[in-house]
Amino acid sequence: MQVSSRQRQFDALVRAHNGDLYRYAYWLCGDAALAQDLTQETFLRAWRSLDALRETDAAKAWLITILRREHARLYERKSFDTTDIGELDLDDRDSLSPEQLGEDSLVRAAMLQLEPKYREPLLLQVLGGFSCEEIARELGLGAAAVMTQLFRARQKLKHLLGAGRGEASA
Amino acid sequence: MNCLDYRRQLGADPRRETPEMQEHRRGCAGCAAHQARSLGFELALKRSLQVAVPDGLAERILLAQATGERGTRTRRRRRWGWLAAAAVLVAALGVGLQQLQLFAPLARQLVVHLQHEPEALLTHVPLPVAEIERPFAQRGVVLAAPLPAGISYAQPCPVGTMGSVHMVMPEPEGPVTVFFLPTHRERRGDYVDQGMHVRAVPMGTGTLALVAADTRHFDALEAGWRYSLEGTAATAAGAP
Repeated sequence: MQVSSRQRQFDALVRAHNGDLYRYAYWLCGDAALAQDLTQETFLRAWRSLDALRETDAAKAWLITILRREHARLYERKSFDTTDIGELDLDDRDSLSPEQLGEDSLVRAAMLQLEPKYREPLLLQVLGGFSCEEIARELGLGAAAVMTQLFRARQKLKHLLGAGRGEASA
Repeated sequence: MNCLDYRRQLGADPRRETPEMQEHRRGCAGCAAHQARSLGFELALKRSLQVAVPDGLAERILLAQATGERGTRTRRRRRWGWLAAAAVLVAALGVGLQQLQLFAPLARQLVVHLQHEPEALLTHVPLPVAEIERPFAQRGVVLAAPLPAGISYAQPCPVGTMGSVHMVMPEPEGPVTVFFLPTHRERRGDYVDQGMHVRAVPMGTGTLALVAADTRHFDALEAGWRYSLEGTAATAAGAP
C-alpha cells in the first residue's frame, strides 16, 4: 500500500516529538496514564489539521500549543488527584549516583508543588527549549512578565528544595 | 550592568547569557560563582524532568491514528454509499414519475389513468345516486344540483398528483369517461392523446375533463355537469 506524503510527515512528527510532548504532558498533569492520553490526543488533533503546519521548525511549538489546549479542556471537565512521587519513572536511572537519585526525587517533588503559572513557563523553557519571547507568545503574555515568572519559578523551586532537604536531613 | 541585574536575568534564563552579562560575570567573582551554581541547578532540573517515555508510545499513537483514519474512510465510503443509493433512488423515482406521467400534460395523465383502470369501462349499469355522491363528498365537493343520469362508475382516484372523482357515462357510441378534479384549475382546451379526445373545462372549484373516442356528446355533457357542479345551465362554450 502506498503511503501518502501526509502520512509520512505525520509519522516523522510523532517519532520526533512524542518524547518531548509526553514529558511536557506529564509535568503538566502529574499523571503518567493521563499524559499518554494527552499526548495521543494531541497527535490525533495534529493529524486532523496537519495542513496547517507549514514549517518544520514550528512543529514543536505547534504541538505544544495543541497539547496545552487539550490539557485545559481536560481541566474543564475534571480535576485530578495529586501524583504519588513514587510512581515517577525516569530515564537512565542506572547511570545515576544515589545522591543524584535523591536530588532528582526532591526536585520532582518540588516541581509538582510549584503553582501552574510558574511551572508551565519553566517547563516550556527547560523541556521545550523555548526562549522567553517564544514562551511569551505561547502563553499570551509579555516577555517581561515571562522573565519575572521564570525568575520567581526558580526562586520558589530552590526555596521548596531547601525545605525538602531540611526535612530529608531531619 | 550590576550584580542584581545580572542575577535577575540569569534567574530568568540561565542558558542564555548576553554579551553584557558575560562582561559582568568576567569581572565579578561572586556572579561567576552564582552562575556556576545556577548551571548546576539547571542540570539537575533538566535531568529530573526527563521522565521515561512509555515503551511503544509512538507506535500506539500511529496505530490510533491509522485506526481512526480507516474508520473515517469507512464512514466516508458509507456516506458516499448513501449518496449513491440516494442518487439511484432519485433516478428511479424520476423514471417512475415519468412512467406514471405525474407531471405530464393533463390530457396525457387522464389517458394514462384510463389505461391503468380498464375495468371502469366494463359495466353499463347506472349506479345508485348515493354511490356517486360518496366520492364527491370524500373529495370535499358540494354538488349544486342533481347529478347527470346514467353514471356507471364512480371512484375517488388520484390522477398524477391530483385528486379526482373518476366516472364513466355509457353512451350509444361508446363510454365517456368523466373526471372532476376539484382542486386543479386547468385552462379550457380540447386535446387528442393516443387516439382519445380530451376536453378540459374549468368548472366549480376545479376542472371537469371528458375523455372519449368520440366527441359528439361532449357539449351536452359539459352543460349537464356545469349544472350539477355550479347550479347553472349555461351553454357550453363552443357549443352550437
